[in-house]
Amino acid sequence: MSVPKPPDPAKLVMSVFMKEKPLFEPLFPLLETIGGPVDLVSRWLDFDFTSYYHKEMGHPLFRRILAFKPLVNQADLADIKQATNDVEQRFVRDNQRRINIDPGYLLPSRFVLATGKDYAHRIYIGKHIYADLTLMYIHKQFVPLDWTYPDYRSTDILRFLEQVRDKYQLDLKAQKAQTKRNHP
Amino acid sequence: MGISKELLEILVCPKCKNEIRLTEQEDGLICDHCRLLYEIKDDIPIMLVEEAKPVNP
Ligand SMILES: [Zn+2]
Repeated sequence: MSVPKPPDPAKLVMSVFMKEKPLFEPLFPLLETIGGPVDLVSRWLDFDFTSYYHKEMGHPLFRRILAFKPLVNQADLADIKQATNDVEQRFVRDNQRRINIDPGYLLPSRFVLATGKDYAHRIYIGKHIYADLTLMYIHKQFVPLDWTYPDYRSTDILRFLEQVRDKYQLDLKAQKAQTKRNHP
Repeated sequence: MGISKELLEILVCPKCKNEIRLTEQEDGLICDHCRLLYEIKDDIPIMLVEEAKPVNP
């Protein structure tokens, strides 16, 4: 049996999409309440890979991706998804969501999304939430899997996440050095 | 190596979410709207509002 070791803290990432771009302004501080200060923000990206959300949220839809500076415990992903679901609820009008928030985390080796939908390749992580292994980092780039949504295969998103990973590696190194100094 | 043009096109200022531009020395990213400079260290832009430096007009 291998000796269990504590996992690395992870980089929190959220994808948000909406029809009405001005909603991003009141949304942003609410997300920072959950994840702390944001350190990378993408420009608006077209969210036109699926018509699945059109009926509820209208269209065209626009997406931004955010990465948060404070690293998170991987085991907190279900709690974070619940918190972002609560934020989505705040923007509901006439029983229709106006904002969709998908939180996930990034590790040196992978990008994992939280979802409420069960599927063969997803692992239950508690609180009615499942984890979806969305991308693996292989040969210096993020690589999609058979089940990866088309939007997470787009160059813009892959490139953005690779930048997030660079920043994360830098912060992770600093954090580990700090821990070593405090607990030699 | 430096920061790629494609990446510049995808990042925005975390404060005002407007576009940013590379400094002449390619050692930082400037938001002209907020007049803030985000430094680039080891090819990694430090896009944190609290660590950004004011730019003189
Ligand atoms: Zn700005």
